[in-house]
Amino acid sequence: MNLLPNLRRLVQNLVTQRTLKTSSISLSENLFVHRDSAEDNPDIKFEFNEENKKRADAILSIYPEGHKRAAMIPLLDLAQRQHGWLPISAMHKVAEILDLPKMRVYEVATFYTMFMRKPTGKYHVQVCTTTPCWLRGSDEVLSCCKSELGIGVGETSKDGMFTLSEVECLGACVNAPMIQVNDDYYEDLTPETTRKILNELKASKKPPPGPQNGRFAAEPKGDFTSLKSEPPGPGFKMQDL
Amino acid sequence: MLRVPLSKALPNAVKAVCSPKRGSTTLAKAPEKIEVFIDDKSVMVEPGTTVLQAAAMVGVEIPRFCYHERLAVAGNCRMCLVEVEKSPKPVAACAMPVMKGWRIKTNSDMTKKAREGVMEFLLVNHPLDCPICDQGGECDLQDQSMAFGSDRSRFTDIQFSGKRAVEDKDVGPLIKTVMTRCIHCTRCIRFASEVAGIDDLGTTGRGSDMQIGTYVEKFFLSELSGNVIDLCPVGALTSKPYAFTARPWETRKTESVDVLDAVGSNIIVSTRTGEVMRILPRLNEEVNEEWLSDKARFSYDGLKRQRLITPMLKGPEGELLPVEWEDALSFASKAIRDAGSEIGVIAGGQADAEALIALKDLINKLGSELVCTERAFPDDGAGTDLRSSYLLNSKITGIEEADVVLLIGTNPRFEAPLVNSRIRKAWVHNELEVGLIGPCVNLTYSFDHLGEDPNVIEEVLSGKHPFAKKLLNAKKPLIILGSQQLERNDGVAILSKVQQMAKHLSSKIGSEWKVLNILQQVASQVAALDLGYKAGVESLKECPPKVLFLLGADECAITRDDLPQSTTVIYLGSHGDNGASMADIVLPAAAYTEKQATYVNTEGRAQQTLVAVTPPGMAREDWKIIRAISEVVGKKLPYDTLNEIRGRLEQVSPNLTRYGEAEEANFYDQAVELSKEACNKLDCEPLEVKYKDLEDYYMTDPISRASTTMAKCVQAVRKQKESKYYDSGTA
Amino acid sequence: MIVPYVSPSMRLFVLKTNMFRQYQLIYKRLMATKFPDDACREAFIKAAICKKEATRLDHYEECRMCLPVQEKDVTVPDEIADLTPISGVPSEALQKNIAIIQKPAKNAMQQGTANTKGFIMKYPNDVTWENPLMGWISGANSLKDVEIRFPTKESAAYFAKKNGWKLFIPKETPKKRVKRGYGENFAWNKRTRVSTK
Repeated sequence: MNLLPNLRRLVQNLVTQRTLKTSSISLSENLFVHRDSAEDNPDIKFEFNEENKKRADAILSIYPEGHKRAAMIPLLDLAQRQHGWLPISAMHKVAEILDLPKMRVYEVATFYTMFMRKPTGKYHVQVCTTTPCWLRGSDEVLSCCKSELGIGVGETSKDGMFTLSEVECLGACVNAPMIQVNDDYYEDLTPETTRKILNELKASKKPPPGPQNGRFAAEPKGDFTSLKSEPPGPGFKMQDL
Repeated sequence: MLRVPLSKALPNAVKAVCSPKRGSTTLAKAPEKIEVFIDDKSVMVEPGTTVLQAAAMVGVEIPRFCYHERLAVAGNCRMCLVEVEKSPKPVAACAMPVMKGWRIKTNSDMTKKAREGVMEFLLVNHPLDCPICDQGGECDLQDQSMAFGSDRSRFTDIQFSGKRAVEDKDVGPLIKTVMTRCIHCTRCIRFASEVAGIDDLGTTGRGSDMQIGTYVEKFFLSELSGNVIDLCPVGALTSKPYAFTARPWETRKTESVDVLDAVGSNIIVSTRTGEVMRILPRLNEEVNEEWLSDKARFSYDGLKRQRLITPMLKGPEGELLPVEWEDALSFASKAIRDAGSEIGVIAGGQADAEALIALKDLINKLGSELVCTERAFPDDGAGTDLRSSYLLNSKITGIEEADVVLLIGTNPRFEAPLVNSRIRKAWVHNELEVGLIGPCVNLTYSFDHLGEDPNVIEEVLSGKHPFAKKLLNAKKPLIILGSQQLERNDGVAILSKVQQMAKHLSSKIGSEWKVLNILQQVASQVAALDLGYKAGVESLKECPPKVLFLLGADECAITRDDLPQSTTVIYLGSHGDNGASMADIVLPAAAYTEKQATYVNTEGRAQQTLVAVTPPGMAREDWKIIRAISEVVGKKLPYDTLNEIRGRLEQVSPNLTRYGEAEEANFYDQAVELSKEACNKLDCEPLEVKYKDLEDYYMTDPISRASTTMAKCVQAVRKQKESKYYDSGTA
Repeated sequence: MIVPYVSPSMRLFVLKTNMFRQYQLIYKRLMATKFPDDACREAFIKAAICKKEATRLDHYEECRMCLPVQEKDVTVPDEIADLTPISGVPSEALQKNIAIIQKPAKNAMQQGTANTKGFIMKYPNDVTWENPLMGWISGANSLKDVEIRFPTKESAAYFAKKNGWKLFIPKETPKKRVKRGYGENFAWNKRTRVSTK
């Protein structure tokens, strides 16, 4: 899976370094064609459970007649939540519900990176490594995750509990660095807190999400640093006429 | 620079942009033309015209990759960026409607720079494999990078990471894919979902990872699939049978006509070294637009296999032995002389008008009237005397204007794929409603299935059926009757009912609009009926003649068992198929790419094929063989050249030599009156169609039966059916 | 029995055609057919008979017809100098061949319209054979490779007439301009909204 980037790195090291530097082509770790596998093939049927059927009906009712296909993303998400990831049969099911050609569903499911098209662990650990997080030490967080979980990026642990991903900005830069585990953000991380979170998850406990350094949200750590005094009244700094 | 709010800078543009939809409805009655300037040339266009179309009106061609006239506008390749005066950014000409007074600059520095930029980005990931690419020499990317690209590249692969590589897809035996060459114009996807109606192609992934394909392992199988090869502006989709065989500049192109179905699609036959290398469509808006069905495009390898290349006589042990022309002709004429007037003819599906008339003249001279076509047609009522009862009267373009179409006992998708694509076009663009009486097949569009029972026709006629209301309320209704139903025992009753229905509808509309349409299945039928051939072989079965002439008749309308042992069968045709195997004398003739001949399509449009290659071996043009026989028999036919025989054609039926024109039929009402008298009883047997499935479509005539490509297609369909991803509803 | 339905001249025509019996059936049915007037009926019968009759070679007078198939709108001045004696083209070749004048067809593989302007006059392909020595394609008709470009149909026809070439001008099949807008992709509840691209 990681053969291509690894190979590229190897070639880069072998070949004499050149002084020019550019950013490398960043390609996805995922395949964009489907290959039948033991756990993902159309013979394994997918069916929404009763509860989710009701949810699906509720989702469909939001969209007007003639635009039911807009329910595709919510339905795919529903399927993914039910199954843990999105197998090909689930895409077929959604196509069937929406009365669309299957290809139209494949297109959407492959476009959005949050649809996991291969078996994914119970906890999907997504480490943000975009610039603000990176500046605040996301590399350490990532390597901590790797060593703690014993898997590389894009891999799933053998027990099927964890999948590790490297992701781009998740919009929590004020609380950098951060990871997302399933739907929860764990922010203001250090390797220690990351390890703690992962260990708790391993013990099937759910650590409280949010900043891990004592902050409540994005307020300054410790005391407030500005805007402490009373707000000035009207006419503040106005010129005298 | 002082920034002016956009609304101030572009007062007209913004106003117009805000209200295009509302404007189009209110302006629909009197679309006022607006003036725009393309490179300072003024042009008046209708509102809603795109920049690219406006430019085309004054002959300015804007480069494009994703835009195609016959497909939806995608606007994703950005090659058509042009400068519009006062617009801060270049605009995509293919998608942007013009506004009043716009000054469009298709050759300004900004435009050039935009094009060079787009070109550079496209080439970053496009492999430099033109020398081994089949598109080389007729590649839009190649040409446009020469014309509009920069003369140097800033792309230096300093990290040796290589260009983006995409794995090739196996989409079937017709289309070869080299997906690394793909520039993501999505034309193939749009063609598949809009024109072919098979939603199997799409994009998967995003960004640099995006690729075109089927996602799952699945063939792209459609009767029109070959057209994506034409549409592909690069070498990502190329023809598999044509792969690495010829370069476009080496080939000689001959404008011709396809005869594998009754549509008469215009084609270009590319030849090199006396061999047909490939067949491409030729634009004819009235017939095939610029599409071509797969059978017409890919069965050319059948022209090189199973050919009759020498005259043959049946030997003592029943095997056919090659002989010289002299012997074959003398044997044939001896048999004919011995038979006297007891001689009959069956004309097959690909016989040309020249051969048909020559043979008919010869047989008539010998005192026989037994000239028949393979396909039957009711003889009662008006029979084949009135052209209106066997033509697609509203013409193929008429389908585009129609608002309700009733298909009776036909599967146009496989009988005439390009007629079906017109119906689909009208279905997509004009909200056409379709009804179908006959087996419920997949037509690639939605329709009301009224049933398989022929009595439904009666119900619709009497107005009892709910669909009758739709037909009656339609402004331009069409009824398309499959010619196969006329071969049934109650064919005349079906024809009569349909004629009455058509008359009823057209009297209600009261205009020139033609409601009645018959969809023929074979290319020769209309010409044969125009020339006075009798449809069907019943009369031959009743009194078998002493000499039976098969003019390319391979459908086994008459088998050897129907004939007495003493009957001599002379087969005149191009392929060793069913006809030749039952013949005593085999005369090798030319296929449609090897002769200049007249064919009349299902609309009654006469068109001619031209000689692309020479007939193989000792094979000769059909009518010349007949002319030679006539001389040996002693009943010399009075024409020696093609012009003279065409003079004869004109004398018999002037429409046969008005090439390109579809002669109108007339006497609709009289045909109705005549057929009323005929037997009016419908059978209970459900209507049946011959080609139900894609599998049935590929091999239907001697040429396509001899084609390995077509055999591979059949194989591919069968394989697809076993696949987990096969979807009977959409395939 | 058909006498009441056709005029004397018509009857003569029918009898002369010697196809009397064959048409009895059709006449029988015509009796029941409603025509607005007799003239119409006669016209109809005549048309039906003419069609049947023309297909019989007995009536083909040995009119060695040569088809001057030309498009109606192409006019060539009557008085043109005849260059055939000095053109060097054998007269039998001119007799035998018919040149075709048409717009060069666009290559379906490409979008550009270069090389499709103007008109091309050429002779259709003729019998060829493979040269046994080199495998090249040989032919006996030197005119088959002649291709001349003209700006207009008229100029081509003028040239052809001057040189004694017989002409065939097929009907032109111009491209229709279809108005297509980006908005159709998003049209409310229309079938044009089929593709996602």
